Amino acid sequence: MTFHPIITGILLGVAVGLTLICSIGVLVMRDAYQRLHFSAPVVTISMPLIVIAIFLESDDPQARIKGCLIFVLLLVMNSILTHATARAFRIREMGRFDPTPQEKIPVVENRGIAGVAPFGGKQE
Amino acid sequence: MIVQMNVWLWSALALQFALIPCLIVSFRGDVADRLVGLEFSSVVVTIELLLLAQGFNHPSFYDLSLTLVLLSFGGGMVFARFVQRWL
Amino acid sequence: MKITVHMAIIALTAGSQWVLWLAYTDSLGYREMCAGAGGAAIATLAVWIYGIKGKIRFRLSLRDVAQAIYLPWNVLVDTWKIVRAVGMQIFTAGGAPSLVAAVEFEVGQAKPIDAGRQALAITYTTLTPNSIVLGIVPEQGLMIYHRIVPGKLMAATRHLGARP
Repeated sequence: MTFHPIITGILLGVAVGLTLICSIGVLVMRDAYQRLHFSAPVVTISMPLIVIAIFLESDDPQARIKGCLIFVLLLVMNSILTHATARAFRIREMGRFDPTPQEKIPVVENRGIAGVAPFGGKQE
Repeated sequence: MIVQMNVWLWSALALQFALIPCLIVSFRGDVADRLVGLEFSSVVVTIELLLLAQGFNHPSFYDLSLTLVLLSFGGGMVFARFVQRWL
Repeated sequence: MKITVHMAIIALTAGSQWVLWLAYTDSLGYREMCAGAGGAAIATLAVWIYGIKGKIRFRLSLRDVAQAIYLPWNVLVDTWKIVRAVGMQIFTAGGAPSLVAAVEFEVGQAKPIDAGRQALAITYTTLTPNSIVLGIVPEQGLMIYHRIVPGKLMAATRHLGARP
């Protein structure tokens, strides 16, 4: 009895399950910044699990190379895109990107700039 | 072409449900939420195409997934710039 | 010496693009080799033009790239944190936290190696699910980031310049 199909099934099940949980996270979270976080687990965990499953199931070198290529590209590009999108949201909301006097960010406060907490959340 | 259902195609079917929350967010949210919904759905569809390519045993279908990764990155950057400057 | 290093980079770029194309097509046929050579030449030309005309230059050091070794464990831990945050958002009255924070960051001087270090700090930190870097403010020496669950910055970010 080969274990490949079982292991492949487990890998795909975990990958798809995590993606479904992250998509629920995108739906239920309050603001866009929180929602942006949920693509990272899909790209960093679900995707490599699928690539491992491809390696187990397929002997075709093309499939393996392309799977790895898609994973690497998605990994790098998703990080850059998430950062650029979050930055765009911040500039759109605040009018500027750097900390404003209205924000109570502790590091900034220690330097003598005080303000109001943004996004309805706590400050570290 | 008749292909028997296998674990890859079942996974692809299950993954379809991950698009529903993205659709809801994209239809109901404000501009920022819609962009997030679009970007997340791009990631999900990339994985979906990968699963379908392996499920149908057509390695050449991987090119679809690869193309989507590249184009969704470019499109996402353009939309982000739009949101920052004009929306 | 500088010209030799520059030419070595160009040759490496062209060679790697060509090999990547051949691996992608899984063929060593004559047509694929010619098409790959043409595509690699165009890509190398673009890299060369950017090297001359591009405004932002950055260089990556091996030590900085090697900080990726901290990523796998942090990705797993952060994934668990945000999955818990989903549960908190659905099942608790308070919902999941969300906060913007800033940390002092060693910007360095306006050298390519410092630009590369900053780019890696942003990429690696944003790769972990619990953190998104909003940006680095060079004038104030700060890195601004968003988190769902509060916590310490990972070691890779600290080694790349964050000073919490």
